[in-house]
Parts: sequence; structure tokens; C-alpha cells
Amino acid sequence: MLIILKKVIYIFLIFGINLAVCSYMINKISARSELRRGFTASRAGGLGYPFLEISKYLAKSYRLNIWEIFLFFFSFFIWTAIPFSQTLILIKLDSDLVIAVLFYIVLVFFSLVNASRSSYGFIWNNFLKKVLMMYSIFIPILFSISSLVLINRTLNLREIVGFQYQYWNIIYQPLGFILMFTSAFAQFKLTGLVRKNTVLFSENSEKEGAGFGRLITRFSNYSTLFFLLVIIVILYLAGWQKLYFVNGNIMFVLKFYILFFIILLLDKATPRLDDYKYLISINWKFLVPISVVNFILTIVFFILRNIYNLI
Amino acid sequence: MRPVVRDFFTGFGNIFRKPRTVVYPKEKIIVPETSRGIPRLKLDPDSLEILCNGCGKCEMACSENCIEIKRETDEKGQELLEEFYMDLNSCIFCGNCVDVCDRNALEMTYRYMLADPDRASLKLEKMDLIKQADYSIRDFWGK
Repeated sequence: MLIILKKVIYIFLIFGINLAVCSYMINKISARSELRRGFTASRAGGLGYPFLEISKYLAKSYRLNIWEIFLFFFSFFIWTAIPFSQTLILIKLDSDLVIAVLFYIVLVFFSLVNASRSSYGFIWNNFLKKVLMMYSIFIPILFSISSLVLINRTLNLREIVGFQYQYWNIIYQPLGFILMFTSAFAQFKLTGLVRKNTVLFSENSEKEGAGFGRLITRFSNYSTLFFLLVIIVILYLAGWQKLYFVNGNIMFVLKFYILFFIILLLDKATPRLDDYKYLISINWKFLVPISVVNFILTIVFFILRNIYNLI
Repeated sequence: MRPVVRDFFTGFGNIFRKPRTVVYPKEKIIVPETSRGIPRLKLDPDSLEILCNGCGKCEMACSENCIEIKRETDEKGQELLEEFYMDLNSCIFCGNCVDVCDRNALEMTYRYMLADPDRASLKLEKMDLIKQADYSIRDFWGK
């Protein structure tokens, strides 16, 4: 019992520190890449900015919605099935990849419903469009995960990391990594962490979600992005495997922040993804066909290698 | 795809460059060379007399009608400047009066901080406009 409590505290600490660092990075790097200074009003060069932001949200009175309560809990539940190291995992399962992906789907669904909750018909009409936008990005993620599972032949995330002790999976699945990363990037654009976006901040939540509810929605947006980045690091970049003499945990953190940094800079270089036309040109004309081709190629190699023993 | 890659590396390079914005009380930048502050009346360096003869071209060129000139004639029949009024409440610092002057008797200074609770203090007379010569040297913002 005590060990589980210790793990829970560790995971909370990791998540909280990560949240503070990432919101600081979002503010500072997006400002510095535009030759601005970023947030300087708080002490220590803007280090207090995340805490200031939280207190800004808490200062307004707000009545909580049932979907927001679900969102609040699921943005924590999503971290139960994901390992941060060989031992730091709350629930040890044989197929934790499936559980993690399921949690992720549910979290995105709740955030969509929360954005669309209303008694007005036209907002509910927009809801289906939002579902289409968010889950169409999810198709290449599923394809690339399944082609990776075919290579490693396991659904356990710790075993997948263990298989990468010699070569990282990015060498076997370079296309899959690019697809996964692009999908995560598109997800980041749609959740609107840097600038407001119409997908998760609708007409309704603009007016009502001013206080604690907005804090929860932002919290869940961070959670979805962290989940995708952690899954990419675990699946393709060998998670906590040590590189030469560098400690595995340090490598994990380094890879995570490098990916986050690249996503932040790419966000500045690309237009907004509000329009479904952009999404068609990125997702349906680029990501989905290539992911299908990648999947078919992997299946062919899988059959040739494991069934006919040709390779 | 090419503009995305270009913008990506531009943004990456900008992180290591100095920001363009200035944190005001801590940092100061010099006033730009072409900035326009209060106009001043120039003096002849030898005789220390006002160069302006009160021809009234600046009064006609002023789009906001903030210049008012009174001229007098001396015993030789020569026109002289008696009084030069300038209302900075309506001045837009366009610099037309300086451009139109034939004798180069007017010049824009770099004095820019003009906020004042009293409207009357912004109505300048001849002597006030001559005293603005202190501000014709470029200085730092926010001094």
C-alpha cells in the first residue's frame, strides 16, 4: 500500500513539474522565436508564470460541469497505465498499451463533449465536425502503433522498451515515427494550447468556462499532449534505455523535451488548423495513405519473416 | 513544405538573438534620428538674433492651425517677428512648418514627453520656443 502511495506521489510530482516547465516553455519559447521577451511580470524572469496563470483561473467563480469532473479524473487516470521507468508504474498489466490508448480516446471524447455541451442546436451540429477532426487524426496513430506492435510482438510497454536495448524502433519504423509525430503535432494544434482554437474552445465555453473549468480543460489538453509525447518516446525512442553512460531517466526527460521543443517551433512555422480543408490536405492526403502503406509493408515483412522464415 | 522548414529554422535562430522589445525602466534606447518633437526657433549663431522674419508661410502651411504669428515693421520699413504662438494641444508634429520655411528658422527637436495636467502650459510663446534648443540633442528614451 505504501509503495503504491509513494508511486502516486512520484507520478504527481513528475506531472506537476512537467506542467510548470512546459507552460513556461510555451510562453517563453513562442515569445523568443518572435523576438519578444515573453512573460516578465512575475519574479525570476517569468518562472512564476505558471502559478500566476493558475491563480488567474482560480480567481473567478465558476460552477463545475459534470463533463469537467470526468475530464479532471481522466487526465489523472491516463497516467496509471503508462510506465515512466521499469518500476514506476501504478498498474502492471500485460497489455498496458491498449489500456493507455483507450484512456486516451476517452479523454479526447470528454474534452470534445465538454467543448460542445449546450442546449443550442447549432453548437451540437459543430460537435460532429469536431469529432471528425479530432478522430481523423487518430487513424494514422492507430495504424502506426499496430505496425509497431507487429514488429515487437507484444502489447506491454515495458517489454517494448526492453526490446530496444540495441536498436531503437525508429530505425525499424522511420515512417511510423514521422506519422506519429505529425499526428501529435496536429493534435497539439487542435487543442489550442498556444493560441485559442475553435475545436476545443467553442462558442459556449468561451463565455462560461472562465474559472476552474477552464483550468481543468487546459489541464486535460496538456495531459493529452504529454501522453502522445511519452508514448512516442516509449515506442520509438527507446524510453528509459541508457545511451552509453547517460542515465536512462535523464535520456527519457531529454527526449521528451526535445520533442516538445520541436513541436513548439513547428507551431510557429505553420498556419492554424481550424479549417477542415487544411486537415484534409494533411491528414487524408498525406498521413492516412502513408500509414496504410507502412502497415501493409510491415505485414508483408511480418509474414515473410515469421510464417515463411524467408528473411 | 519549404516555407515551413525556413520558418522553423528562423524561429530557432531567433531564440539566440536579442529580443527587440525593451523592458522600460531597466533598459533605454536612444531616440531615433528621424523622430520629431517640439519645433524650436533657431538663432543666428553670430548675432544671436532670431532668424525668423515673420513671413507667415508656416502659419499658412499648418494643417491644424496651431501657429499664430504677429509681425511688426521697424523704422526702416523691414518686417520683423513680434510674437510667435504655438498651441501644442493641437499640434500633430507633422513637420510641415519646418519644410516650408525658406530661412531655415525652424527645426524639430527631440523633446517628446509632453504630458501635463495644465492645458495652458502647452501654449508656447516666442521665448519658450527659443529655449527648446536644449532638446535638439538626441537623448535616451524615458529620461
